[in-house]
Amino acid sequence: MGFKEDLEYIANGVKNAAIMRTWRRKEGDDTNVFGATSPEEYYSIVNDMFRPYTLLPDPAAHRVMAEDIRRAQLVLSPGASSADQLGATAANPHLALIGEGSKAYLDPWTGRAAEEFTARFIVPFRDLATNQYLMATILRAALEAQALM
Amino acid sequence: MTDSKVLGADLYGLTIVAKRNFPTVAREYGTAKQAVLATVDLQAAAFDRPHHFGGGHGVAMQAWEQLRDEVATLLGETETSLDLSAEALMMCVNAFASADAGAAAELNRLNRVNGVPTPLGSVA
Repeated sequence: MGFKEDLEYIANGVKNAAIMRTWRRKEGDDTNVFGATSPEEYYSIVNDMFRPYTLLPDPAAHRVMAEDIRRAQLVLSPGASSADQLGATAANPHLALIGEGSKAYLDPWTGRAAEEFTARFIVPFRDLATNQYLMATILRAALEAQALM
Repeated sequence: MTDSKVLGADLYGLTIVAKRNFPTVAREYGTAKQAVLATVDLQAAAFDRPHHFGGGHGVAMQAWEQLRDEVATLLGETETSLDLSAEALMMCVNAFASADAGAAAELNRLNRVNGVPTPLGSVA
């Protein structure tokens, strides 16, 4: 059963309980508290009261979106760190291709251009990727919180 | 090994960085950006609010959407930076190779024997 069906089920349960109780009370009592309407019609209001909640977005939509963000996290994951608590993903080994994975190839390249390239691009890359991973984590946490609400 | 041969081998190393390492990570960033942007399709339905509760999409959506777009933009910028850096590195390789025929010959040989480096597939 989906979210909407769950709520409809509960609404019907409440309505039926109210109708049953009314019929029980009416035994031996001729007082007509419902006027021209039957108890069934009188308590149909219960379904209307629940209806707005059945129109709320299905939390499953948030979960699909959270799964998209999780794919982004897989790509951006720096691996074992405190961030694991937030995403529980293994490190993407490809990220090391900028950094350790390129060091041996870049080392023979010397001079100002090479130094600037390393200092401005290679060195900060790991921290940059970690920050981007954390941003994706925040996006996913917000979606999961919304789904719970 | 002659100096030219050594230079040719070094240039092949830079080619690996420019044609395999950087493009591999750039592609990863492209994948991450697409995954983040995939949320666009469902966002309106997910944040929809019945008119009984005020209608519209609720207050959370705008803030979330803004952050999502910012993250996607940053990922896209990193992808572009990596691609442009790879291009710049290849320009360096070509400049060195055109100045030294021996190095160019060694570079060509390594490209032939080991293959021209290509990007690796995404992990996601």
